[in-house]
Amino acid sequence: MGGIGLIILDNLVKTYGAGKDAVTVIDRVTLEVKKGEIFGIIGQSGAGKSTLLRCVNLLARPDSGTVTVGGVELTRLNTRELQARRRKIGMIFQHFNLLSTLTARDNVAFPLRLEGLPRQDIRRRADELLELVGMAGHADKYPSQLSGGQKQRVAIARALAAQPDVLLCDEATSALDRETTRSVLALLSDINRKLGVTILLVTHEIEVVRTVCDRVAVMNRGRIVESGKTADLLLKPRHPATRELVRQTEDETERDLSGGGDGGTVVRVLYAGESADRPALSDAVRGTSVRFVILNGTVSRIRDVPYGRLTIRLEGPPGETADVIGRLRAQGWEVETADAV
Amino acid sequence: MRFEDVPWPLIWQATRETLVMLGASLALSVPIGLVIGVLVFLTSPGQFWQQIWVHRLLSLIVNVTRSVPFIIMLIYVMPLTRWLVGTSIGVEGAIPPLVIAAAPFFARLTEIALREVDRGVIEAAEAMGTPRLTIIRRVLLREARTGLIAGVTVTAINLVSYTAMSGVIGGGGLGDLAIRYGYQRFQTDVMIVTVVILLVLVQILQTLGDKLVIRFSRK
Repeated sequence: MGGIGLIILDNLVKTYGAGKDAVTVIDRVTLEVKKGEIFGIIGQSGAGKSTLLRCVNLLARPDSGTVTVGGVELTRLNTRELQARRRKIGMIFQHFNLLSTLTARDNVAFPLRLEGLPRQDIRRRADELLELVGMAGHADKYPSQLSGGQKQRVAIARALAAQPDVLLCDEATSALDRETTRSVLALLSDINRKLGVTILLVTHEIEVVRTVCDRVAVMNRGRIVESGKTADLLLKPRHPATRELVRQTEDETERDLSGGGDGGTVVRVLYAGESADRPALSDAVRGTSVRFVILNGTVSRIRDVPYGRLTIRLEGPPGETADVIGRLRAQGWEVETADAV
Repeated sequence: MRFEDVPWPLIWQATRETLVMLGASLALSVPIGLVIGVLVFLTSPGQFWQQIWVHRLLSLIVNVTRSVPFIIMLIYVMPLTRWLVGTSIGVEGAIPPLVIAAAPFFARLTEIALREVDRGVIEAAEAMGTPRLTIIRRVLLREARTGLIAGVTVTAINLVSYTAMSGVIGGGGLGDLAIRYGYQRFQTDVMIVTVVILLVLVQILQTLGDKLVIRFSRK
């Protein structure tokens, strides 16, 4: 694994309750988030992901295990030291959690006042931050006068005020509609790229992971069951929990290989990355009498990785069809057939 | 009924006494009740000074004090009153029992107001590395301010009715006057005047409180 682990969670365990009623919410979780990446933790509700996120800034204290952020072992710090370190770990929430009695500007200024900056500096910096998140015209409004997406933008500005190196996002888009989700995710991506802020987010929405996460970990019943690069994980899920999450967005008919009919061979192909840029399918049939029909499929991107997942009927002599399949595989395509070819 | 027999100087004197008792006891019960209320809230399960036993003890004290009828409290705390202000009678002697009755009442209202504060906002402040005293001052009390103002209003109105009983210990005030002249001497006109003044006073307090709540509401 390259890069430096900015956030290192080592063998975390957290249990709620005691004795017979004890529930293990986090079960021996070890995780490393690299500097500068957007890392997603996805899972069904109740999987323990929000608690895990709260362990990073110790809003929830693990029963055992260590939390290290930027080389500092937080689990060893006293209250005062932890408070100081938390200022460099921004956090946003599903329900925004803005102070209802403060204007947008004063909400953003809240962490700046903790730093004890001069009054004019605070105002200037708060306005800059509001500008950054596209809320410059709303500085004097109270949260009740803002929409959900606008509130989250103010919350993002507040979270960035103390110039944190890490931003934790707890289901930050779950209370927002699709369109607003997309714009908030674009803002987070932007912040990650422009300011180099490492982002650790938890979500139950596969779309969020697909759009912004470089790497992702799947959480199920308090354990991380699978993790890896987003495209790899979403395109080739191994654990049943991951399959379940991925399946929600997939078209069921894509999986059906039997209904080819008409004497052709129905295959399912998957390609991603570089090979998505090449005319692999026409190259594969060139010089043969095989023709192809695309029956179904998706051609899209996961984060920055282009991919395609198609169901194709190949029509031609069996020998040549096998040849074409071989050529596709040589291009790095994965080919799944009904009968083993 | 002839209002020309109404002893106006006595009425003004009594009004002043009521206002002094109300002002002084409110000025003392609010801060004391606030501190107790904050402690009861923050020591409750799930809050950052979670201390179940401290919470239960404080809660018990608040409940016991609140369940003693004021007329009994007035007499019961006399030794304490004498030790605190040197006398157990008059306007001065009425203030300690008024505070002892009103502070726990306001403490309970404070706790209720604080419970209305969004847990997530406190969590956000903790995540920002806010020291706890700052969270209390600038998040909890601020976000709960309309509830607290409403609590002060209710406490003030309660105190007006408590002051009426202080006549028992020679505390004076409008209630005392109403009993001595209006009831015992059958001077219905005095009764009417004092009741009207008390009514106006309560109305002013309620209106003021409501106005402030609207003024500070950001919902």
